[in-house]
Amino acid sequence: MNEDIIMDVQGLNLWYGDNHALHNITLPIANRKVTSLIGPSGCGKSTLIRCFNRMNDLVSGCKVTGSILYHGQDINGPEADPVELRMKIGMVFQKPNPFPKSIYENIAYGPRVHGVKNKNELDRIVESCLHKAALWEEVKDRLHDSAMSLSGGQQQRLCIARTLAVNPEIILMDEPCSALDPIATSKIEDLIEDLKQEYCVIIVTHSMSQASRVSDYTAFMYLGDLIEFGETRQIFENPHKELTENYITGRFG
Amino acid sequence: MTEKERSDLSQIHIDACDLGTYAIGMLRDSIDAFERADTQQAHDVCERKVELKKRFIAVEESMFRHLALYQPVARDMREIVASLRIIYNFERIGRMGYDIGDTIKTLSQCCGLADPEKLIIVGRKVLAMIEDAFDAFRDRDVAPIRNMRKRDSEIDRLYCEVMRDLIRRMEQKRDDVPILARYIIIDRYLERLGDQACNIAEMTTYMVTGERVEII
Repeated sequence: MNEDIIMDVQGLNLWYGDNHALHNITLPIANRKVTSLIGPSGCGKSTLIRCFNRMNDLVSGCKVTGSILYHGQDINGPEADPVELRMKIGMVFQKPNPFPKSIYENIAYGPRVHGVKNKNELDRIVESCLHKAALWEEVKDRLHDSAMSLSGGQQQRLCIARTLAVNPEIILMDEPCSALDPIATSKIEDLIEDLKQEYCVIIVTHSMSQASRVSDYTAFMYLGDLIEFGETRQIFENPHKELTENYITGRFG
Repeated sequence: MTEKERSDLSQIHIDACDLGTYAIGMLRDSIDAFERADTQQAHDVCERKVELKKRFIAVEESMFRHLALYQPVARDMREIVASLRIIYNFERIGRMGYDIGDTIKTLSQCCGLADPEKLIIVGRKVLAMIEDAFDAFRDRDVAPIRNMRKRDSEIDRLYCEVMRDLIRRMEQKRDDVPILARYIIIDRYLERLGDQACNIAEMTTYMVTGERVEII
């Protein structure tokens, strides 16, 4: 892989109590590219993506070994700050989860918590992030309406805009379109294409066609193992492992 | 993969093979007609052109529908994409069978038939190449097409040899020029049919192994 590697997973193991959920995962993540994690339910892809911003810290009994190097520093090392990490590595979830506040406040909240007080600066951030999330034209005249008044697809783009507001480098998306209709899904996919010009995107998806459309690299996981990783075109045209082929062609079970 | 998708894909392969059998039958019969100077058989081959097109369109449409409905990936995608290209080759083979048959009809009407000599040898070799390429596609097995490049080179060599021979005969006997000029056309058809066999072999290799090979 001849890319600028922003995150390097090396020999990662994870246990939930006695349950060994991830087995010796080694995976490079390229900057300004989209990497898809695919695999059947329970294979560990959501567990893995939650390792990237230490969301699993919140799970009691969770133990991690191995390393996840972000700009060469282990994110699980003693000097790593999870709050700072989550600012640089944002996350968008399966179900849109805007704050029960105005559209404007959803985006301004993060920068304000991180010390931005100037109204003009906050206005600029809100507009810029809404533009980047392809939502500005739809909401510019109602920025102070409740975010809950938006459609599901708009809410999900607002959540992406909210993530962008704290100036991240990596955006994690855990099945971001699974609760959306096809039109909202296509808008999110277009947005992912735009976002990778500036950001690294890692996406968990159950949709094979979505993984093949949006991602540059694809990792196939099964029962906690990383079975195959490669360029998306290779994975979907000529996978090297039979298990990958059986999964993506729907021959499991 | 649903049962419906699986059976749809299997049926498409069966239909593509049926089209191939039909098209190769047209070519085989046209070469037989040429060898035996059998204008009735040439006529029969020409009669099959409409049915060939009808079958081709039906298989092509089923492939388009499968692509749109199931968006296949990996070996399923390779199978449908390769098959889609291969049925164009089959249709072309049938059409060239028709063209050869039509040429035989024209010859019998205006000039009579002269000894086709080496042209028949070329025709038999090309037919064997096409049949092997078809077997490889039908059985999803690349073994019968491993030496296709060498065989195509031989066809190219024979094509030039026959061409030189026909020109020499034209020079020697001017009365045979109308016949021999049409033999040159048939010689060219056969050379291009060798390319069709190679195209099928290339696509079958891609379908089975995922490797893109260049035979011609």
